[in-house]
Amino acid sequence: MQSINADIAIVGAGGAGLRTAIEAAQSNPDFTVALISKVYPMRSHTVAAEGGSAAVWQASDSFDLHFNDTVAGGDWLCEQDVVEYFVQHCPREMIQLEEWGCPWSRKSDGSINVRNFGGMKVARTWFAADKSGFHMLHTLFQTCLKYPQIKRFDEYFVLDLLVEDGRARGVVALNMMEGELVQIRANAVVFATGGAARVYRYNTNASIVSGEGMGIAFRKGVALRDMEFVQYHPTGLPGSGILITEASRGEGGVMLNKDGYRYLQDYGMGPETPLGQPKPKHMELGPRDKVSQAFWHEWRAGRTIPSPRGDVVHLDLRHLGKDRILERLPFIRELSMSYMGVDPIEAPIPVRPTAHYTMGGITTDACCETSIKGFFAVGECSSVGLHGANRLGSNSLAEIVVMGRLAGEKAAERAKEGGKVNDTALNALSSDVEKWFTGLQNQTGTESWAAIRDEMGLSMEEGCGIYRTEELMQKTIDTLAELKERVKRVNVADGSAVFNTNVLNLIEVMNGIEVAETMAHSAIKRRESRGAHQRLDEGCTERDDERFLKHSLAFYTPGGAPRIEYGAVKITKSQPAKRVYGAEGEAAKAEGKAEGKAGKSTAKKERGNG
Amino acid sequence: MADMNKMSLRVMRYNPERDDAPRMQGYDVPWDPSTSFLDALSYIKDTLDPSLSFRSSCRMAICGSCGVMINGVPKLACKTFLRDYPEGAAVEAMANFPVERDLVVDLTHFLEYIQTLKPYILGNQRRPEEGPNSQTPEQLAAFRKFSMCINCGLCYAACPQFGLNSGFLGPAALTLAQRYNLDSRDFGKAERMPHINKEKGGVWACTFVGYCSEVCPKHVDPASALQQCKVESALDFAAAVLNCTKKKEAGHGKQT
Amino acid sequence: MASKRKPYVREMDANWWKDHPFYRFYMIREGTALFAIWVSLLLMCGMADAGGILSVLSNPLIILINLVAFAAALLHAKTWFDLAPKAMNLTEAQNRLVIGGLWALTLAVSLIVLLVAFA
Repeated sequence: MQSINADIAIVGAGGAGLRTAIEAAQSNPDFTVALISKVYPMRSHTVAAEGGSAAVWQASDSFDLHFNDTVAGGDWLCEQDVVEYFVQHCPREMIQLEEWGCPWSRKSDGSINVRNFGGMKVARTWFAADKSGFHMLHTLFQTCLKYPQIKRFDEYFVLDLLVEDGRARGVVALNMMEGELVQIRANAVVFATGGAARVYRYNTNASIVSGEGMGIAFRKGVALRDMEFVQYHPTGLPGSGILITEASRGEGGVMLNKDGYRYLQDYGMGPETPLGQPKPKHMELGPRDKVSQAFWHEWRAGRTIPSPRGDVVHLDLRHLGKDRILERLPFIRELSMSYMGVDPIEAPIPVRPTAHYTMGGITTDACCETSIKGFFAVGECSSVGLHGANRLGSNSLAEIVVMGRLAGEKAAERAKEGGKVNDTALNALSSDVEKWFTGLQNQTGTESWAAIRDEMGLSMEEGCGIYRTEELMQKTIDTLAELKERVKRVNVADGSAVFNTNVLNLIEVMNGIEVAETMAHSAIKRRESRGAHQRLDEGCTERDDERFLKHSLAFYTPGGAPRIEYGAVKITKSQPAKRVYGAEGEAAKAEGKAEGKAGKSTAKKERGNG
Repeated sequence: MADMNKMSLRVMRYNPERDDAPRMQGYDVPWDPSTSFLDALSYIKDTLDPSLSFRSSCRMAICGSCGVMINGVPKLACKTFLRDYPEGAAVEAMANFPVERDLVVDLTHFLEYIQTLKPYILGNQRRPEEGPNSQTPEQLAAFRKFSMCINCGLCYAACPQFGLNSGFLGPAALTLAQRYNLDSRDFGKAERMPHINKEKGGVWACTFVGYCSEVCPKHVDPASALQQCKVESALDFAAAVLNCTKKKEAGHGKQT
Repeated sequence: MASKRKPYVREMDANWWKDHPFYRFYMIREGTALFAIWVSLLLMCGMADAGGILSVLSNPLIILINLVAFAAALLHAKTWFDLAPKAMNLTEAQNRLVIGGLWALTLAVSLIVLLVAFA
């Protein structure tokens, strides 16, 4: 097997991987940074992010406000020291992107424009029309071309991580075009492999977002943290799941049920705001988990609109007018017209919640390093502790650059340490991977990977959807266990070497099942409702800080179901309180202010409300 | 799916380990008005023939993976719908690129050309601590259209000049160069011009066929960017001639 | 290990433009250059006052060729005028203005030439 030496190996070339690579390259001109991805960097899923990226910018805003929105939005399951670092570094990173050429939308005086986003108290979302992720990704990709130290391995599919004597030493990857395996050795390995929402049948994600990174880390013994928290985006297109950005609500779009009624006012996000005057944290600008949950209730009450691809509600943008839609939401219009045949200038867009984002992931410390020395994770694949139980829109694009930079810096430090590499041991590990891979290529049987993928997806929708019950989760757990057996009997029909995606699809679905299992098992053990994890069974419908103000940690057990343990949540300055939006939020704020003046008992009192 | 109508598609197949040349293979695919060609290809792979290889990712026309020829026209498979081809259709690998496997082509040249033209901000030393550059909406509008390229390669598949001369930097790469040349924050034009001016593969290899702009799924209008490159290149040439004359005069002066 | 890759290059032959309407139109557009040569030759003959140029010009076949050449010139003008604003990075509205202006200019110059010729 060919062996290539690098100082740092980065797996995944989306926003997080690229930002990490640039930082690592800048840190040392003599470094070789291997940037490995199963697709060309421009194809990474960052490209599909639409709305924008958060960073405190306006005079009326502050780091504390961004911190509070993030921690409350995450239902207090955030690592607060991480959130603090994050909010303080967001503006610098947005400016950095600007200076690298990102075409952020501007005000007429040439300064940066920001927009409203769900769950954010102040407009602080930097945007590039409704293609923010696209522009960020291309800016980062193009900037990375400036650094000769960054050696790209495009269309290399990483099969495993090389860990020797407790330290990450590189990866084994398949050169997809040649059909050959290579060892890419490095003293620091960074996973930036993205999320895993493709384990759900209906989702906003690209087909590549299948969770191998999480799967590999998991099998290496790194815990997957908070996996039960999977965000449903309230506005996906029915059937395809294509994302209709939250910015369409930030710009003033409204959600209507079959009676044309703005139903969000009935779910703690009211009172109704005037048409075309969106108010932060009210109505359509409520956080994603709550807006998705409201859909579920409307559906149960028979107030959604039946369609051939499931029930929908309407996202109405018509009152924004043609000019604003064309200026701020041109891509949304294009998507809606192509994939639904609906022009949002003339008719409301049919939408429904679809799986969108995995809040949890590979457990890291505040510096993005995992429990394996020299092995880092960053971006959606990681759980650095930023999003807690529910991520706020526009915090993830900010995360990939803020944490990407940190990961690059820290990985560079680790790479410098070097240390003695045990050549024989690494070769032995690699040849094990090769044997495993060859076995898969020649696997025969009667099962189809596509059928297993679909069954997994439907089962996850049923058991780990917007609302969960013990019974349905157990059913999903059983299904997943069964699929894990069946996947061993998948027939690999394509025995060729050059660009054989058949065997790779199988590997994706194998990893998907394992990741899905961590979600389902973490979910069933969390006997409370928090953020994106909402239960309907008795005794579990409320948040329970006494027992569950802690991270779930899913550990790999060979051949069996994941073992679930728990870890402490780092709370520095924001004590858990009730999550309130709309008028209730205003009232709580007023009360908080009054109490703040009266004494310091606020935190203690609010905790009782949770 | 069972009661859906079926459509006959012919799909290019090529396995370098077995075939001497690409061939077309027929498949019957169920469809409804929302079925895209990418959906159809996925259906073939999932249920009819797992050995079919093609690239795909976002399925929403923003990642640029799934460029193919549909009835000889460069298209994104995910944004082209079976409903528009009631007679069936032929799906082939993107023209003008070498075929590696089925619908997968070799994009190496294309990626190299992008890099050659230095598509990043040059000559601007501003640091984040100093705050963002100012850029008015008008300055942004000057290059915005050209920043919309998703690198799908359809314009290369549409460009006969690239087909005839694979050394031509091509529409998307040159458009990206022009995007940065037009950016008010960039001062790197002088570094890009030598490549744009280059005799064999530079912008003058373009004869304004114009089909690139016709097939661009993002309406980037690369043909327009290349015409602008030609103007820049002509001005650059004129300036070089003037400079050269001046230098000669100066040199002459020294000698005497 | 020897690579299993064998990239297949689809060579373009001399007839690459024949099966595609867009390419055919492109070839016609480029073909208008032939008529430009023809008209230039005629003009040069006229300027040299070569014997009997006027009688040659009144030959029906030559008139027919000149009519085709006129159509070719118009087509060439159209494609050229449509291209012109693309080289200038303008907005859609400005584009239309430039194209309109070029046609107006062409008409005006043609009228002046006709006036001078027949006055």
